[in-house]
Amino acid sequence: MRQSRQDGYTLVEVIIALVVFTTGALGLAAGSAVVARELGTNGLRAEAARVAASRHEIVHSACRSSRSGSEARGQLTSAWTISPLDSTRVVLAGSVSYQSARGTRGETYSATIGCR
Amino acid sequence: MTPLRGRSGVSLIEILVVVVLLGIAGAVIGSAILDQQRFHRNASELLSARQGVRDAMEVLSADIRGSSTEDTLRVVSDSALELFAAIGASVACRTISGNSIALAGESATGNTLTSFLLVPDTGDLALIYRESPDSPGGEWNRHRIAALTARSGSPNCVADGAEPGEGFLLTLQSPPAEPVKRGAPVRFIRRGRYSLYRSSDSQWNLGYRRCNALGVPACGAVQPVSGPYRRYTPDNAETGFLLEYFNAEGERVPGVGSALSITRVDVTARAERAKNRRPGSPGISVPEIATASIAIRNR
Repeated sequence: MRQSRQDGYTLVEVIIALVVFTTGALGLAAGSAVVARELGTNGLRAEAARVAASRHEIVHSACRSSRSGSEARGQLTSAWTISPLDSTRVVLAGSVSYQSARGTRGETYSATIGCR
Repeated sequence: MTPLRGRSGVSLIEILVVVVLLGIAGAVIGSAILDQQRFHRNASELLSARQGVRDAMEVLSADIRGSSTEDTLRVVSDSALELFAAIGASVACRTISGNSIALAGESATGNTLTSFLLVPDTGDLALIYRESPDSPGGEWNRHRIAALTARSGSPNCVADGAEPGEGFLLTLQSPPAEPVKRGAPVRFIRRGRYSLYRSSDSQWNLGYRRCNALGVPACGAVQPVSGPYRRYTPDNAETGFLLEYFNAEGERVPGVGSALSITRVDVTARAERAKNRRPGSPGISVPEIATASIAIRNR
């Protein structure tokens, strides 16, 4: 009796093995969903960095006529303030926010820019 | 006897059950792997489209920042830009003869008076600084380069007659109006044109051409810089590569002929990529867009 029980796999063992396998396969699929979400968020984050860098360049190029403001570009919203530091410099402070899979995220930046 | 016979093999039912279960598991795993593969292809296409649009910003921002509207920016159009890009700087040590000038050399320690992003040659211009009573900030005189030769000389200026002299010998095509003073800064600029063009494989890329510094505005063969992008159209909201020009008041500048007032260039690149691609369906095509503003520093 004892001997014959070890001759092969029981149905229960086979089913457990299959469940484990399938869980692994589904885990793989779930992993790619996470990566896809992160790819999307990363794209927005890179765009947010470009928006902030562009704002810096815009203020640099048109220093005297720059004003505080805000704008929406695609899925991003950006707001910035410009305050004079002295006669030759202004301080630019701003934030860019975007919707990620885990709610709204925001990045802030600030810079002192020399005017000519 | 009976129990032994009953356990000596696998019944047909058991085999069927196992085969069916294996089939189900195989199908699930197989489709998961196929999904994975498709996901990977889509993701790498997305990343290369992003890379393509980012490349355009990076390549152009270095050259646009370093250019100078005063004498070097040549606006061409909404999809092309011609400029003199700074490729190096040095310090003049002394005038050796009428049109040949010794320049300080490059030093391996990094503490150097000369640095070249690209080594200037005959097609480039040298701008030599000269103090002038007429202009309070001094002036930069342009000279065509006849030759620039590296010598195994000192990274610093040496006394007249000392051997082997300084690191570079710059020969101009015509001698400067007055001898170049010791310590005068020298800048080197190269004329080039960036444009969206259609390559032989009928893809649209950003290309670079080196152009004649002076005289006939002839440009050399185009070299691909980045891409591929969407095709060119005059529609600013659709075209693959767009350049927009702005002045110090933040107003749009119409283009050709107004280079002097430009303080900022906005660069937009649009690449095309497929989304939701499935077997038997090519998916839908969506744009990948990047825009960057670049301020010109040397106004």
